[in-house]
Amino acid sequence: MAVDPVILTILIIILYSLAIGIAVGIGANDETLATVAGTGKLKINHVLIIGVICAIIGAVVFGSGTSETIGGDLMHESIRTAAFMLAIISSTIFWLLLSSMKSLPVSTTHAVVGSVIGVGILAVFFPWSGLPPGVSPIGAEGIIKVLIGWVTSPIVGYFGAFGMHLLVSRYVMKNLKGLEQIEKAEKIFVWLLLGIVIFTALTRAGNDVANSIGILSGFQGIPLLPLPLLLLISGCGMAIGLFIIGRRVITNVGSNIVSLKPSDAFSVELSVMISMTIFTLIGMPISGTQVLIFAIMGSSKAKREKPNSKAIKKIVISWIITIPVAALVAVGFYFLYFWIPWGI
Amino acid sequence: MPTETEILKEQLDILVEATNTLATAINNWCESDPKSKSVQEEAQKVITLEKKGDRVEEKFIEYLYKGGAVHFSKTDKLTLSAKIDKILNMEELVARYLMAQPKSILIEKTVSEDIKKLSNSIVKTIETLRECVLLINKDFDEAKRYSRKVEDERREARNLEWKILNDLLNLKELNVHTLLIKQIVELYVMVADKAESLADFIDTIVIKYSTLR
Repeated sequence: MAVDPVILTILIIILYSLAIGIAVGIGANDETLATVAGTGKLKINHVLIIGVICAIIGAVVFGSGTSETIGGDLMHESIRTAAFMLAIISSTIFWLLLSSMKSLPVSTTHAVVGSVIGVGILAVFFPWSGLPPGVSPIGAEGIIKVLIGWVTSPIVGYFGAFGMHLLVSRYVMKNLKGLEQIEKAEKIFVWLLLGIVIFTALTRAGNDVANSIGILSGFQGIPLLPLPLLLLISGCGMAIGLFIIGRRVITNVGSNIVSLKPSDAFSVELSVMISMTIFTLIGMPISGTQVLIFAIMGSSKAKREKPNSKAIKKIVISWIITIPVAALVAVGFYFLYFWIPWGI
Repeated sequence: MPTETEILKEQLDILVEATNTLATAINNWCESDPKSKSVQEEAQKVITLEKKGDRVEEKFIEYLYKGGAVHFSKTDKLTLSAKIDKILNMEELVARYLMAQPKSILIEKTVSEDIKKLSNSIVKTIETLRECVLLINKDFDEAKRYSRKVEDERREARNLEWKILNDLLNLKELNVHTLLIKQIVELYVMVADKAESLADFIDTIVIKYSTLR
């Protein structure tokens, strides 16, 4: 079918706008720097400026690996059509909005991956999907990577923070005698924390950028800007979201976990940093939010603090249901877009 | 700009000075009448010291507000300073009651001796408390040991209070003076109670920060 240039132009505008919209949303929900803000050592504007710089640099420098996993490895080229792509993006945005309204921890990565799986399964059973017979719609390698990351990243974050807390507690904090020494040590931990959080923000931007432009980079029918430029645009989108809306998220999370001393936050963030770096380097898209939350739970367990069972229930539910729900919603959206004669 | 410890020390020094001054005023009251110059002047000094303490507390709040302390311990430090101020407020109240007593009030010899002992006990309690507060910065174990000492000294003050009340209420002649003396003693012992409350708070700080280590 010939592509109508008007429809193509509209499609390009819609796709790029939605991709940038997701980037802004990701930036707005980015709580990476909340622990630093919570220490009160830096002013919120300074924290945000650091976040903005990290979002742009991280997206450009570390973004290509995970973007290729989401865009290329996950889907067969025959189903990278307008209807499928729009279904994935719409489902992701729908899930982000719904979970935000229900105060569930938002995982953009899981929403994207769930949507891809949903439309992939649909493509097998739907005769007009365009998938050649006998061809797998979803790259098994990419899916396995994502599923491994989905299951293992919270576990790595949890036990990493648990172990890190025990180490910091046993070898540093236990040797301190009075409040003065503890405060001196905590002041040093603030700077260590800042260094770690900057690194995490860089790798997390690299990991998260896949969620906004990854689907575009795998799109077959529309002209794409060069990948570095796409990464830069998405990075700027995340930076805008972080600076304008992310302020509230950072302030809220920062003040809610203010009891998290810099040394505790250090254990948590070091574990998050290690997890994010490993998973980003091996091209596994994971949820930074989930890793952070499970790391906080791991640190609390090490402190023998009773966790908030209601909050944990919410976190676990959102962790489990994101992928299946996003998959179902994507299927629904596909049937909406399927009837439009996109031509690609 | 003075350091956090310097400001806290200044507030504690004022507390100790006010306690000593109040003890002198109480002892003088046992020796003479409440309207005597020695009682009135010393009691007035306590009131002035309380005001001075308020200024130091304000300085400490300003210091904390301007980010001069580690974020996670700020509220505990503020509570610490507020509790010191509460002791000073109690001492001011005793001083004001003392100044308002009628000239004709007479104290039995045995009762006056016990009131003097009570003064010594309260002075000791506050001096130990001062060390206790300063020790949380240096050594949790020692701070805990000193907070026990504060509790012991406060118990001694409490025992003296019961003895004084017992003596007062068993006097041959019960009159309004007896009740006025009883009121002063009860208020005075509340200084030690407030000191114990601060010692309990120090225990909380010690437990909180040593278990979080």
